[in-house]
Amino acid sequence: MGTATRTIQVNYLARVEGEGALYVKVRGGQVQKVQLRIFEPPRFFEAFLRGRAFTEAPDIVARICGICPVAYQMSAVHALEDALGVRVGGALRLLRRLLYCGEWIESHTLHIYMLHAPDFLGYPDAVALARDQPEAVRRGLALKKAGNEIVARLGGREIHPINVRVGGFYRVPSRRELAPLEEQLKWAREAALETVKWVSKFPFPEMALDHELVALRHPEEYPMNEGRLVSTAGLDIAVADFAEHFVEEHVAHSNALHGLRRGGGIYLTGPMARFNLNRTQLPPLVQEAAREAGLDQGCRNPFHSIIVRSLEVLYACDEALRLIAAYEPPEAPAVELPPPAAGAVGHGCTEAPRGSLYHRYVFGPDGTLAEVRIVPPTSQNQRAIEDDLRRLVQARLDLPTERLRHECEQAIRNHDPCISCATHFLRLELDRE
Amino acid sequence: MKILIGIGNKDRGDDGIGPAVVERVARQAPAGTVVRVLGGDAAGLLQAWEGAELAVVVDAAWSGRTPGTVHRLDATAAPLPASLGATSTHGLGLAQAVELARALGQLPPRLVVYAIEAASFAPGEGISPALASAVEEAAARIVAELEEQPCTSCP
Repeated sequence: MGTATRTIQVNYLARVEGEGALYVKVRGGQVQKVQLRIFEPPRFFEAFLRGRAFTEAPDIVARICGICPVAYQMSAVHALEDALGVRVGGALRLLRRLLYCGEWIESHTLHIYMLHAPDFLGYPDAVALARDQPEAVRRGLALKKAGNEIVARLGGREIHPINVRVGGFYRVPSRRELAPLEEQLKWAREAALETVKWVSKFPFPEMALDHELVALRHPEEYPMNEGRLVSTAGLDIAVADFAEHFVEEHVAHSNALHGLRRGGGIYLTGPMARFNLNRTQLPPLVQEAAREAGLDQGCRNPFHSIIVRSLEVLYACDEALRLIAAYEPPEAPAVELPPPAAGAVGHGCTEAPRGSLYHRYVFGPDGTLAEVRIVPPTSQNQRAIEDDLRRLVQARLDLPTERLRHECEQAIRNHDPCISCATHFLRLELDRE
Repeated sequence: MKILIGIGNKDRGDDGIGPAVVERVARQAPAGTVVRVLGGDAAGLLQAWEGAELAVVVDAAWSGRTPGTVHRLDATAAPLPASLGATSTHGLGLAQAVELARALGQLPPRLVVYAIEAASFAPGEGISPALASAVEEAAARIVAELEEQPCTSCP
């Protein structure tokens, strides 16, 4: 292949959220450039939140993503409550965690069964997979539905829930209203265990990443809504110090900002980071499933991310059952909020299915939102995805072009990038000489 | 059970044609017809038409034909033509939902798709004037379809 010139171009990377392309430049057998080009237009959410009442933020930011609206709502309410000096605990905190469990189940299961599994099993898409393995796909659809039911029950509807507000909820459920979820979740927990067994037998390309992994850590639980930001390189900071340690850069080839550690280091957030940094917080059922899947010592192969997602689905089903059993309705659906103080700043970071989602808000003199900053996981993960691709292509340059393109797409899907969220993307162009 | 499903987003111009037709039909649909408006996600569609003997789905189309053209497609007989255009960025829209259901044995005995040619998907509420008569035409044909009695004596 030495001096031959070949160009591979994929106009759109299918099975990721949004629009983007991948450009790979190879010269003399060396990968020189890997660029994820995100051309979904910028969406300006941060700008059009300015001048809005803080109470509008949860419903507006939910519109950033149809797959993970709960994550946007959760980061927003926590950041705004930080700015107001309010803490939400007890049953309201429990319900928020339950809502998040629903989104993890729904989002991860969609990705595992409909988007990523076909790659490993050699099918072009989920429809072809369904023809050969209908039982598996039926299980995936029913499992996803269990997640949807939680979000619909607590959020008022499955997508873009309408029941979340700063301080709590507009309406909270009775114990009786949550009861029907229990039966479904007991089935879902078994289906999730089957999912772990199913995906852990897939054939996995060998690969080891050494990126710094960043996730929330909480002293008492696997992280969702709260904690400190920690990393495999020893970072341990309050969420409010995010901007001192992480920066975002504009790059010419992409409409999405690129996240970096201050000083230029590449880092990765998401299921791999959460699992490696917090797996001892998982209950025995999930730890045992991880051990059987061969991941009890952690996991550095990005292709194993599908197993990690399946473990997080198992955890979310189990945790949702625990939360429902512990639930006692609160006296009020939300806590009282003080008026916004001019100049007050609030930070929030929660664990979206795809990784840490940071929000920062500043109130203006009239109490409306004066400054808004939203740093989604896909922005933060872009450099790490490009780095994975650089290594993958370098190690597999002898593969036929089509095969290589397939593996690049599969490697991108390891990180379940959500282009709509990050545009703030996909086409694959392999330019080799 | 008969179900009528409108797919689309009212805030994206003619993408709202599905919901608009469904709204128009809802007032005249025969008793017992379930009426839903959905975003078009495959899993949601499979769930919605589960157990229905007849499902009618209305969606916007983007194939380059004259805006307002009403296509009637028998999805039970054959896959939806790719030429009608994918309006979903998620890669798992109506056409994939139909094929997923076929692969899983979850297609309703009768699944009819009305696809209406759109003129614009620009942000904002409201259907293009060119599509006004298409709403009426599709609504009338769907009401007739829903009222048609299934052949109970057929084996």
